[in-house]
Amino acid sequence: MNKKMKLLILASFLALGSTPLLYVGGLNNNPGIIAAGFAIFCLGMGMVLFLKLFSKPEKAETPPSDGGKTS
Amino acid sequence: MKKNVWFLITACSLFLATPFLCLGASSEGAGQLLEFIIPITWGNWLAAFFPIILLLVLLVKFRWGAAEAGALAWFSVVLISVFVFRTPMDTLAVSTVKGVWSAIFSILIVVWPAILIYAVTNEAGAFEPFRKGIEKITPNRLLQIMAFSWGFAGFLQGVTGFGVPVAIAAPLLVGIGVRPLYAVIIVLIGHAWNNTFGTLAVAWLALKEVTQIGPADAAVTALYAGGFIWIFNIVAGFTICWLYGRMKAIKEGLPAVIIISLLQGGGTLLLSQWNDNLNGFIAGVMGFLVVFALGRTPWYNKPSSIPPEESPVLIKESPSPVKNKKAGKKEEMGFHLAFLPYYILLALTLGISLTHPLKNFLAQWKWSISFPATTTGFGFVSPEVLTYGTFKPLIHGATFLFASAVIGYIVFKAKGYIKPGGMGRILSSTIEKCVPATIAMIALVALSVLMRETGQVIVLAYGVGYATGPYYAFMSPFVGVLGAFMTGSNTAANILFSNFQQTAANVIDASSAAMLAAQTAGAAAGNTIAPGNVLLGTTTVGILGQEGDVLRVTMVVALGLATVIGLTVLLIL
Repeated sequence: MNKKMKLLILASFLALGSTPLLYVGGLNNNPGIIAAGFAIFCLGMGMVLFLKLFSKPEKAETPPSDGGKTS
Repeated sequence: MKKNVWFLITACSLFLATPFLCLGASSEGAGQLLEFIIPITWGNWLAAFFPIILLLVLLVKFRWGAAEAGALAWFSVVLISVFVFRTPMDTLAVSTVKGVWSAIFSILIVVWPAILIYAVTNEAGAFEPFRKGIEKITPNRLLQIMAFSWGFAGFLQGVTGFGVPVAIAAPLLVGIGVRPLYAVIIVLIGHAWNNTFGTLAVAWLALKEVTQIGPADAAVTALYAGGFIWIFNIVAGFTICWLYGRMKAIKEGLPAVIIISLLQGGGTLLLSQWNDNLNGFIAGVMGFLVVFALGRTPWYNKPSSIPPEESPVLIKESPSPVKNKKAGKKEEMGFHLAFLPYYILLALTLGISLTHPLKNFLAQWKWSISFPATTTGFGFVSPEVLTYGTFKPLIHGATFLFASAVIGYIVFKAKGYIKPGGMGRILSSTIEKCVPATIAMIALVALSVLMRETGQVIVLAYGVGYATGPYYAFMSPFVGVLGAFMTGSNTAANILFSNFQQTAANVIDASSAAMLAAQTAGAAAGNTIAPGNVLLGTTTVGILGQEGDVLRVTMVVALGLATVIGLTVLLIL
């Protein structure tokens, strides 16, 4: 598994993992918990942007059945 | 990278300037036709529109993938929500959780098993025998493509929504030699006509429920809707032909388009006056079954007059694009065995969805989440929801997909078509496709839910109404397109905007039946450009990141259709 895939997995987990904090914080209107949840969620989104802006472009992956064509 | 950074700086500057635009904008609208709790000013409207235009520009012009475009657009929506639409932190938090929940239990739950079923089928080497089997039905590639993207996808949409038609039909098209990009485009266009009356007419019933129209008005509205959907259906057929081989393919496909459309579109129109629930299902079945008959006609019992190498939609290595290297057995698989996972899917879907006592029994197991009411500084309230995003695992298309994949794997493995280590390869391939799609879908759905929960989507619709005044009727299908674009669902778009359309019709003294019909038909067209649906297609065929290329074609179709429907509504007035 390459570095980009690992970072995307991490970004997904961050986004998903922040939702309990956001839910509890939103239910109880607790700014501290909301802020923590948002920080984690923003980190996940930011990671995706980071990958876009600072990683080298890759060839598009293709399903094996289409003979290697990208699109 | 430099270009991306400069673009990012420009985008940041623009949306940071938006609050100042709002402060400086006049508070007078073009004409206060309808009152709304949020002032409908140019500044507010532009602020609400900015994330949409940012998303489209990133996807279409700069060819960013959905994940990164969605992430940046999400950041812009958050800032605009806070600084322009006065959204407090608890509302932001609750809306974000709603978005994540919707992303998972509305879309991703279908994406994951759809990728799995494709991986299983591919690992077993089933696409080559599948393609050969289709050749026996008809050797005509154009009709084969129409059969899957229009007939089969339309039929699936008639039975089950949840994105299953796109997730299933697009990879099948790739399996018969269609380029992945065109597979997604063609299926998006080919299936969406059946969004309104398909899936047991959920979208249509939602429109009736929200507007509380009586039986007589409902019949007239359904008639108009059926007519607009027929227009959509015909356009879908001709678009598929056009993509396949321009005018030559249109001439070749003309008999099929006329016959299939008579059954699908004409059937929808007729059935709209008889039965809501079965409308989409019957029209979809008729349109699919007639393909088998067409394959025996002199028009289509021979190969297409357009050679595969001359069609832009086909992979140039046709007629054997699938390399059957992974099959564990030398003996070739038969067509019916190759199609086994999809037979199982059809059996489960039809058997459960259409058997109401069984469906009702299985539907009792469900889970959902409750959310409190939220409000913004403008007083826009999103009401408390006790059962948000209810997921019923035993009657959901995702479960059917997963079961089909598992059963398909067991059978293929037992018959020796999956080599040792196949499970590992299947799971590895599935995870590699699922992960990027997950974060992309979360970003896209979170931003659209946030826009909805803070009133921004309504501001957009009202702004269109204010700007166009008595000519709003022309824009009514575009509002439907907007609703589907933002929600990815004909049903959700109807829930969001049907009341607005009805009220606007009364204010400008227009036919509410026509405008409601335009709303639902426009929403059906909007499904072809909804980022979530596009992402579903690109993920399942393995071209994640090419969402912009898909939108370049589907946007033309969706907006063109909305224009035709809008002009028709003006004529009806």
